[in-house]
Amino acid sequence: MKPLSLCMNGCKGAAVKRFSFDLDAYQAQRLFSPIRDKRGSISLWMNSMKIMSVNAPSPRDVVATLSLVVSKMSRLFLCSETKVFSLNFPFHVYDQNGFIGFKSRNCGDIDSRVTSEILSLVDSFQVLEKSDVYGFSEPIMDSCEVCPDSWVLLRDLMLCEDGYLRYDNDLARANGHLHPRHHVDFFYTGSSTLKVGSAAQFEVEDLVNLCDVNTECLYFVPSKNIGT
Amino acid sequence: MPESKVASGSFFYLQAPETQESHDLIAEIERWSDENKTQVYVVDSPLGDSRYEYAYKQVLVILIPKRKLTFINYGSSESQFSEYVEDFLEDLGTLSDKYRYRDAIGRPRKWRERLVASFRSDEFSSFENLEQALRIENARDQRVGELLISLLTGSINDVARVRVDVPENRLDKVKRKILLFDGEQTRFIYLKPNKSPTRIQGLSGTGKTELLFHKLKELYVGEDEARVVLTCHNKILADNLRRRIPDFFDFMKVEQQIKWNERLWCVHAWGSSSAPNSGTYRYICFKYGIPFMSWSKSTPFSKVCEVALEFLSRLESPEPIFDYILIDESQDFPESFFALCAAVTRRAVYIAGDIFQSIFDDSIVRSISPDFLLSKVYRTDPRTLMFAHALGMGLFEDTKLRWLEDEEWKACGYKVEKTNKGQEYQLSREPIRRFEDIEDEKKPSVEICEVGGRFYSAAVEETIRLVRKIIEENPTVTPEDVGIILLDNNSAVYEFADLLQQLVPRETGWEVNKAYETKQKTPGSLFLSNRNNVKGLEFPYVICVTEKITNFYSYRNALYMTLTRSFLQSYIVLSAEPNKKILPSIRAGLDMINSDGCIKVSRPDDEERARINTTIKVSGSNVSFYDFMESIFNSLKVLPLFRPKIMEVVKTTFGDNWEEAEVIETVEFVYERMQRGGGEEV
Repeated sequence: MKPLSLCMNGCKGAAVKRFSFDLDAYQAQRLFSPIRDKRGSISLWMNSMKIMSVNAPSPRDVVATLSLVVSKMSRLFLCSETKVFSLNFPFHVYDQNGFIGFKSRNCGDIDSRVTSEILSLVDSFQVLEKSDVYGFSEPIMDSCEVCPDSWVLLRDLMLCEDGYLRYDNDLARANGHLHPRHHVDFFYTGSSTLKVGSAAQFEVEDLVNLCDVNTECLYFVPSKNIGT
Repeated sequence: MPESKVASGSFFYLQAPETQESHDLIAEIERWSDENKTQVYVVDSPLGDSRYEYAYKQVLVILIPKRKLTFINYGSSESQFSEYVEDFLEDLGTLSDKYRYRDAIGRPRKWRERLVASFRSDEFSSFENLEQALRIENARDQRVGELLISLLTGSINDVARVRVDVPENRLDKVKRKILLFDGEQTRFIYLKPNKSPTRIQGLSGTGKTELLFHKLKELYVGEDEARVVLTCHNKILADNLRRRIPDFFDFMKVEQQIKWNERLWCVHAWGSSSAPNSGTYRYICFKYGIPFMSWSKSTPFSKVCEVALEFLSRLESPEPIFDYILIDESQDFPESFFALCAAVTRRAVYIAGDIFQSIFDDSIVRSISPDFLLSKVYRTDPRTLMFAHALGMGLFEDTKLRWLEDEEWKACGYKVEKTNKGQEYQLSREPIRRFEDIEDEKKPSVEICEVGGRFYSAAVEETIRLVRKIIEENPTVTPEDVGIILLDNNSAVYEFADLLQQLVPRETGWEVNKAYETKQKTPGSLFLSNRNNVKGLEFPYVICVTEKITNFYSYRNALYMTLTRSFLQSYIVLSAEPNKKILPSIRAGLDMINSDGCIKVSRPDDEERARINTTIKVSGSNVSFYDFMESIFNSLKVLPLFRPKIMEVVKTTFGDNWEEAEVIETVEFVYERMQRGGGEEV
C-alpha cells in the first residue's frame, strides 16, 4: 500500500485542505499503537499535533504518513505499509504565521505545553482510569496551576466523538463474509464495533471519500447479493 | 561493638580500642591520612555485624584503598595473632559469599597472597615506610582490594555493576568506581548515639538519604525488638522511601522480616484521621489517645505538635512508643515536631536535613552546628560544584547575588584562604575519591556552548551535536547517561522539547523520555525535562539549555541545581547575544577553576553585603504576591482602577521569578503608559 502523497488539494468535491506529513520509524511508533479506548485517542491527538510541528525526515527514512484532511470533516488519516486508520480531529486548524495552529472548542491556542500536560494526565497519571474522584481531579488541579488550559482542553477531548475507523487488508485471517480480506472496522470497543467488507482493495483515497460528506457516497451491499 | 574514639575529619575512621601500645601508631596513621587526603579505616573487626568478635585484642586492621589489607600485631602473642588473622579472613570470605562478591573476586586463597600483609608493630620504623611497602600496583588487584574494604566497612557495592575488571574509558571509570563511605559517613552509621537528637546535615548530593537507610538497617537488625520510624514531611517522598526499603534490605541481605507497622514505619509526618498508621503524628495520637487534628489555617503542623506535647506533658510518665525515629528533610519541619518525636522515643532521634534547600536561604548560619556535617558532595566533580556555586551566586559578576561568611563556606565544604587583608578569597574543595581515576585527564568538567541566531533553532542543533559528541567519545555510553534539562519557563521551551524528542532519535537512534510528561526516569531513554523534575537525579552528562542567564533567585538556584546533576560533565547551551556582557567574566572564572582548581573572588564590601542580604530577605519573606504588589502600588500611588491590569502584566511578565526592583520598574513603565493611553490595553 502506498503512503498518502503530499497534496494540498487532492480530493474531489468541495474545497479540501490537506496537510500531509512524512513519518520516520520513531514518530510512527508513537502514533501507530492500536486505539482501544478514549485514552488512546487523546494520546494520538496530542502526539499528532506535536509531530505536525517538526520538519520532515529524509525520504529514505519515511515509513508512514500522517494526513490531516479538513473540509466539512476534520480527520486524521494514518497510513503505513500494513495499516490505514482514521480518527476525528476535533480541532480548529488555522494558519499561525506560516505554521499550523490548533484550537479546540473551548481552549485557545493549543501549544506544546498544554499537549504535554494532557499526555501527562492521561498517560502518566492515568486520570481516566481512576475510580475515585480525587485520583481524577487532583492531578488535573495541580496541572491547572501551571497550565490553566489543561482542564478545558481535557474536557473538550473527553466529550468529543472519536470517529475511529480502520481499513484492513487481512489475507492471513480472511474467512468468507465473516471476515473478508478487505474490510473496514468502525469504532473500537467490542460492543459497538462493526465490520463492513469490501470486494476489492480499498485505497486511502477511498477511505478519505468515505469520510467526506461532500463527495459521492459509497453504498453498502448486503452480503446475500454478493457471490461467495 | 567496642568503644571507639570519635575522630574528626572525613578521611580517617577508627573503630578499635586505643591503648597505650596502639596510641602512637593510630595517631601517626591519622596524620598520614589527613596529610595525604587518603581514606583510611583502622578497625579491629568487620563493621556492621556484631557476630564477628575475636579473642585476641592487640591487633589493628588497616584498610586503605590501593593498599594491602594489613594486620598489625602490637601484642606479644604470635600464635594468637595468627589465629586472629585466619579467623578474620575466614569471616571476610563469608561476607564475600553473603554479598555475592565471591564469583567476582574469588575465594580468599585466590587473593590472600597478593592483597594481605601482616606485621609486628616493631617491624617498621614509621607508618610512612610501611605504607610504601603496602602499595598494590596491579589495577585489577587494586579493585579487588577496594571491594574487600567495602565488605569490611559495610559500604556494599552492586558487584554485578561495578565489576572487578578494570574500566577502560572515562565514563566507566566513574560509573564503575567502587564506592566507600568516608569517615564521617561511617561514624554516622556505626556509632551508638551518645546524645539525642543527633543532627546530620549536608549539601544535596552528600548521600544523606542513603545514609539514613543504612542507619535504619543498623538499628532494625541491631536490636531484635527495636521499633523504628523513618519519616519526612512529604507524602510522595515517604511513599517512595517505603517502596525502596524492601529492595535495600534485600540488597544488604537483611535476614529479618520487615514487620511493617509493628517494628518499622516509613510514613510522612502528619497522616490522616482514618488510618492510625498513616503518619508519625497520627500514630502518636492513636497510641496516647491525643485528639488528632487536621490541617487548617489556624492549626499548622507546628501548632498540632505543640498541642500533642502539651497533652503528653499532662500524662504521668508516658511509656515511649518508639525506640528510634529518623527524620529526613528536616528543613521542612518546625522544632515542635522534633520535640514531640523526642518525647515518644526511648533511645534516639536522628534528624537529617539540607544545609540549604536554595543557595539563597538565609538560615544557613543557624543550621551549621550539626553532630555530623557532610560537606563532601559525592555526586559532582568538585570543579563542577565550584562553578555551579559561583554561577548561582553571581560570584564572577560585577553584582554578586549571594555571599557566604567564612563559617558558611566551610560548612559547604570549602577551604577558605584569604589574601590582601582578607579581601581576596580563594575557595577550593577537597578531591573526591569517585573522580580520582580521571583527575589526570584535565578535561574541563563544565563547557559553555554559545549559539547565535534564533536561539531555540540553534540550540536544537547544538544539543544534538553535543549528544553525538558524547556518543562518539564514549563507546559504552547509554541513553540514560545523558540528561537534557531546560531551564527557561516559556512556551518556546516546550516546542523545543517536542522538536528534540523527534530529532534526537532520528539523528542518534536514542529514544527520548520527556520526564515532565512521564514523571519518571525511563531505562534506555535519554532524559529530557524542565527544571522541576530533577531533584535527586544524577547523570554522567548533563546538557543544560537556557537562553539568557537572568538574575532571578529561583532561576539561579535552578541553574546551580541543574549543573550539579552531572558527575562527569555539564554543558551549558546558551544564546551569545543576550549574555555577552557577563560571559567573559564567567568564562574567566571557569578557566580559573579548571586551571587552578579554585574560585578566586573579591569579598563584597560592607555596603554590598548589606544590599545582598536585604534583597535576599525581601525575596525570601513569605509575603504573598498580592500583598507584595499592593505595597508597590501604594508606594507608587497607583490608582485602584489600574491595579488589576498592571498586576496581570507583571504576573505574565515575571511568573514566579519576581524581584522587587524589576517589578517596580515595570509597574512604573506600564502605569505611565496606561495613564497616557487612558487605560488602554498594553
